[in-house]
Amino acid sequence: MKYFVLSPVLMLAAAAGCGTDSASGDGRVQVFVEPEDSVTNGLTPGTGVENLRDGWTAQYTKFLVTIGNFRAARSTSSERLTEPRVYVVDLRNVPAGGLVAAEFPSAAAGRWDRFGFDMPNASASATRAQGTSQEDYDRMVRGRYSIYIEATLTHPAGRSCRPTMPTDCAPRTSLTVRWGLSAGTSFDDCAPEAGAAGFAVISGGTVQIKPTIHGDHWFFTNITQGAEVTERRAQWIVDADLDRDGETTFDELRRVRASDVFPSPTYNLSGALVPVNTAYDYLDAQAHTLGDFQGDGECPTRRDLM
Amino acid sequence: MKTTTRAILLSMLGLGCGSTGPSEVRYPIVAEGAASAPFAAGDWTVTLDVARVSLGPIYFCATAAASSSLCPAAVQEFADVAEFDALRPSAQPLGFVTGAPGSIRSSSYDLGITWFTTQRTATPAAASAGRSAHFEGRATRGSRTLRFVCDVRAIPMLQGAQVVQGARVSADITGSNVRLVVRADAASWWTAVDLSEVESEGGDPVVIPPSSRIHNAVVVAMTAGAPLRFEWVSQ
Repeated sequence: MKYFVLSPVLMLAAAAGCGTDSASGDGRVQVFVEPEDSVTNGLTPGTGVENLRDGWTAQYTKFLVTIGNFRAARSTSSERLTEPRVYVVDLRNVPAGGLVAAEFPSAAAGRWDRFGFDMPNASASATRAQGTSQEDYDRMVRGRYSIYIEATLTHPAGRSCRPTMPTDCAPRTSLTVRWGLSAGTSFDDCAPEAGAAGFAVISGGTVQIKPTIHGDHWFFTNITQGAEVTERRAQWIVDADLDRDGETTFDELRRVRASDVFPSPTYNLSGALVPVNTAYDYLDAQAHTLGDFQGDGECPTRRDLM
Repeated sequence: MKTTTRAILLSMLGLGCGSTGPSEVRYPIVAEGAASAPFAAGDWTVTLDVARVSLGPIYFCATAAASSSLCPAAVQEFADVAEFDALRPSAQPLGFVTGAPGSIRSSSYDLGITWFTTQRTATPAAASAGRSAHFEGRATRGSRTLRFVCDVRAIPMLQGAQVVQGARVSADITGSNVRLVVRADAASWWTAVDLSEVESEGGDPVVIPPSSRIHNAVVVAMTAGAPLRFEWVSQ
């Protein structure tokens, strides 16, 4: 139960301005873009928290994102770090040592409690990241995509059932998706899974910041708020293949009412940045949530960049 | 929470910083519906005659997201559950919001059925009559008229969560000279239903079962498609 007490944010605000950061000197900050394991290794069926609960296997063959405009700030001062450059990145082909997307060689030592970045819709001003093909870059810019994926879902005993008539089912053991979304979003107030928000710079040291792009949110059964307390399911995507040709398209997703594929309370569709009325809306809503931090940390302040 | 603890926590806001504003706010919350008028729902023309909605409790958080980790405690809250007429446009008093002054960026709330960590199962509040909403209406298609009733149960997905989690709102509440207006559009919750699903059911009126697609469509609309709107108005 929630009680009538002050939130940590207010308490932090109360403390801000009452003291100073005593650290001195500068350190280096490197911003790496990294994919979550689900992007590179896919999702497997099972009962574990990271598994798809309904027996499907998901494997991405392409996962492109637009990402950049990295920024950091300190609540205790006016200091800012900004790198406005935006990249188009093939997350399945980032360099082995990681993709360094920004570097700040002289950041004041101490805590930088406010870190954020954008996943905007691609434009011609974006930079093609190392490991990203010209064809994929052009695809992102031409479509003004923030995300583009190609994936295959497989299930040896899979079925596709009509959303409006769940008893009308047909065998479907493999299904593909090719989705480009203009779901530009800013992500701020990033915090690791445990510990204080942002990151700490040590004088003379180097800190590595890792905005992490997750690949499983459209399988979630809710719009997560902070910790990913959810299940992962893929059946709704298979059921939305209305013409049963083995590929679920945006046109089909837009024709499927959200309530016909997301039963309550197994699913909870509240808390999205966009109203959720169709299956496409839910995909779009989850595409606005993929930006995370230091693995499973969250960037809870999200804004639609249109 | 005990009053002494509450007072200590409230006093922490001003520690060492010479706060001059109020340490607590308390302002009324009212609900406004929309007058009934016929609307299209698929092949049917629907008119709602009754739309009673249970609302509460509501928690307002400073963070844009509202998980228990990001918002372990509310900045302000409407701790009660109250029922209002969603077809009545005039303001209906529900009670009071209380808390500390501050910025609000998200809301989480239940529709009369809670599942607190202290409750073994989702539990209707006494004021909710066991449901989140009660609807009565008529649907016509050609010469066919279908009367229906529906008790909606909107249940939190997880223990410790609310049925609407992290809805975006924006307000900076510095004092008690405001009121919170909750606006509901009951017709928008029914535009996506297909009443053909229960057309062949017996009864007059037809009782829409909680296992139906219609029931789920209303729940999804109330929580995600056309959720309640919150507006803070100076008074």
